[in-house]
Amino acid sequence: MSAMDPTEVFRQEAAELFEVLEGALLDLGQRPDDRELVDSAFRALHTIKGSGAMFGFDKVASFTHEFETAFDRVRKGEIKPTQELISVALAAKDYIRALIEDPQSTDDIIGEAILDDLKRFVSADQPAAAVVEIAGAPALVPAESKQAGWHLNLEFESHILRNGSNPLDLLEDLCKLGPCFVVPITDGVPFLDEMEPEDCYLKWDVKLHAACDKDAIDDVFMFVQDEMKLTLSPLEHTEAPAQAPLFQLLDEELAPAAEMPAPAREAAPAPVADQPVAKAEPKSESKPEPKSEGKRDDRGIATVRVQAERLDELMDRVGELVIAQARLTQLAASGSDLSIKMIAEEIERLASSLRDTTMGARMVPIGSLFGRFRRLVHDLSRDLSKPVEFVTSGEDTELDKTMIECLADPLVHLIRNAIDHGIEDTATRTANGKIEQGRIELAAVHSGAQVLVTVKDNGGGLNTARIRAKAEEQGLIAAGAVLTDHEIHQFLFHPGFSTAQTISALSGRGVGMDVVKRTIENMRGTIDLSTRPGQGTTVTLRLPLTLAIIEGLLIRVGEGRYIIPLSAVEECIELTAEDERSRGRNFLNVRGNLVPFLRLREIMAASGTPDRHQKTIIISTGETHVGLVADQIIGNHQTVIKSLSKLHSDVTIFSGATILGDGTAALILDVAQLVALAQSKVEKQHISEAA
Amino acid sequence: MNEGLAGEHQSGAMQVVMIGLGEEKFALDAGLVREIIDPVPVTKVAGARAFVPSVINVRGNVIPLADLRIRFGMPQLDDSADTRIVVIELELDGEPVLVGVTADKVYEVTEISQTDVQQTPRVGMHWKPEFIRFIAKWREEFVIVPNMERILN
Amino acid sequence: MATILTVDDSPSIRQMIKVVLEPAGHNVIEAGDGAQGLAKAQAGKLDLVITDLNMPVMNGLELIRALRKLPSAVGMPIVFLTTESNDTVKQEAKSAGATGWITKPFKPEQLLAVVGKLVRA
Repeated sequence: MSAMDPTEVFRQEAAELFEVLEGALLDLGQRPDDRELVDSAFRALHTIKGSGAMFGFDKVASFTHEFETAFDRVRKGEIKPTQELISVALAAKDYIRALIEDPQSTDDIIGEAILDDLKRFVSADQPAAAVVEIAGAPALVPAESKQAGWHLNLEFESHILRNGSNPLDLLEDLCKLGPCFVVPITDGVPFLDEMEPEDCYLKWDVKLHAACDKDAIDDVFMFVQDEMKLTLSPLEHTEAPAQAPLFQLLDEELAPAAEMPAPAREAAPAPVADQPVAKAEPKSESKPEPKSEGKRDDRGIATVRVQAERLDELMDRVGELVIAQARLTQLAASGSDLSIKMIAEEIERLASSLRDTTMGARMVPIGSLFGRFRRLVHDLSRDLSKPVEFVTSGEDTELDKTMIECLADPLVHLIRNAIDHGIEDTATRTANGKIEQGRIELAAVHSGAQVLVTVKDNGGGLNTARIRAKAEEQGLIAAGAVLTDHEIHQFLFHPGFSTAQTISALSGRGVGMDVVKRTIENMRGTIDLSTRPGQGTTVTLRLPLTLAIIEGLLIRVGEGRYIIPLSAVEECIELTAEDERSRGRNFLNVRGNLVPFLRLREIMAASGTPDRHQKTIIISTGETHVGLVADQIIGNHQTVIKSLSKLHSDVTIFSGATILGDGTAALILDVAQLVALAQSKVEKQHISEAA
Repeated sequence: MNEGLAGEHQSGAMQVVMIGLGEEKFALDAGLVREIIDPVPVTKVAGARAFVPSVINVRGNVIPLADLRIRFGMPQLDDSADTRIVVIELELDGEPVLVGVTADKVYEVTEISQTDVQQTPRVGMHWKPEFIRFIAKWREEFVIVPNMERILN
Repeated sequence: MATILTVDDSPSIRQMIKVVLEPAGHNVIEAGDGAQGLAKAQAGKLDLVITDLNMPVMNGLELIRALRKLPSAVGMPIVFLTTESNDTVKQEAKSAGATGWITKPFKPEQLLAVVGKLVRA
């Protein structure tokens, strides 16, 4: 890893901080009393200001400073953040972002207007905040802290010493937070002859004279919290103003509390220059706080900055390694040299763990994406006058970074649709006895080797009759054809299909759904709709965990070998004699269910005679099952995905290629396309039977 | 490299790889050629256009294998000891694309110059003119300089 | 300064631990699985063991239990690496005798912070 351009590091960091800031501001709209949100917003602002100054973004630093100052009464709890105030704060955030990302596009006058608005909302009589010169030396010198502190009672379980924890070390760490007055309590100490030399009998009473964050104390005891009793109470201090709310005492501490301990920072090697801001922070008290495992601020902690292309390169190399390893394994298996076999096995194990590590390094929590939609929902909800509650879950769910990038647009589209067309207007909702505020849930969850992302609204649901009418009008189905609701809803994914009677400026359900579908399928994912009249619609995206390497099922059709993504495989069955005979039919009876199937020999135009016992692989996308008939199932295969060349872009039944152990290329079947192919065959049959 | 011809170096000189397809000789712009390899096992791509019927593995990349003989309506010969795959890199729609081209024989890397260029197609040519950049004369023989971008698009 | 044993079947994790801890003045020795780790622990005095849980031959939990039976390892801090954020794994490892844990993926600072908590100059 080479050192990255520090300015670039700042830009990246700032981009993340903007998300934090935006998230906090939007949440404040819902929970105006949540102090943590205010603090988190201020922490982000503070860091942007400090780093901005350090990297020469003087305008950013001074504007942010004024933003901070203007917003200060919110921080002090003197005024509540109103919706108007939050909208202005968001505009201010956008302005700072523009100052960093595209300074040419900004205009000082706009900046001043935003600040004026902000000041106006915050207070009419607020004296204009002193505009302090910011660049370089941070102007915020913390006021002499009105020290309170903490009173701690520590009682450890007697076996604590045996497991390598040392209460004295912990007390020492505590002392690093501030001056401590420690009194050992000896009443638990037994007589000498009853004493176990390895047990801990002492208890301690500690007065910590530092108004540090409670998190900092928890961090000291994080490994032993289950093996001790810790009672913690705020220390009343005579000099401290009795009325002072806790957060006010704490806020100067918050910024340093989020940092890494100073010694660690110095010793850290170059690649992790991701908190350059730390050095610019005003050091109110030099109290390094061991924050070894971020419990609150996970997002920041979870980030290690590596250039994205390096991760791609690494993945490519790992892919090559996996292929070379497959060749080695094949070679070793064909020979009789035991030591080569052992080395091959060792390399196989190493390659597979390297692959996992590399893929792990590419995984990004989807929460970074979710954050962006809060603003979207906020704005749409305002513009359409539809109050909407936006709930997200599963932010920690990880996906390959490339997929996160690809998911942004489809999700924007789905969320827009949900608000614009899913959620009814307030009058309709009230008339139908629903609560006024609509609700949109965006959730991500792991499901085997896939991630499910759902966008769920509690609106009116899809109008199946209207979709059907439209499909008939466009000639997609014959009038009176028998179709299930689910089948009818699939027309929403047809290019150019829109049912919105009044197409709003924002979206029309159907407009672009084909694009959404294609994007998802390009990621080897699937999209599915389910709806309940009057209760809402859920769109489910199923996505593979990664784009680079998949588990595949290797099959043989004639002379050719093909890969089916294992995530799509439901089961493998042998064709019965009856199925064999029924050449003309398109269905297979799987435990009473009729499953359409495709003979791969026909599709691949395989030569030679088919194997006597044809195998059927049942694949599925969402609810739909299709059987693929092959000559032989060879087995599982670690499939490094290679894309097909442009010259083969007209071939749709393959989603890519891979390289087998013997060095030949094998094609990967595109499950979604094959399912669609099977269904169209079925439909044709329906139509010909109906005719 | 043919040193004898290098003497005729002029402004329009062009390095080419001379390949044989059936009875014809083609001169591929050497600037396009990445490598020349022995035949490797091919993987048929069902549903692909006839002139790019398969893919091959070249150093860990899966690339299409084009058959110019099909594009030119020439008979396909079985692989012989002389058969080679010429890997070329082309720009298609602004993106670089690697393609393998089957050659019945690879003669040599040589140079042809503008003075050798014959503007008029030879009588009896039965292939589409848009596939041909120009005809050049080389050692008393006519050789075709194909327009690979057009052929493969 | 301190002698630290890192036990992990992933050489890259061991390497990462080494490049972080060695510049901080620690002596880092490596083992590729629990059994090797135990052998190294028996061979000499250690100040800290950092072990993965999921390993071939002898897994991390077995290693922690075995280490706690060694007289030379009484009171020696043992830290395990885990990708799980759930408490069941932590509880299990703690009751096996672990002192603390580091959640993967971790940053050098986090590793240093944990080592700093458990190893004194």
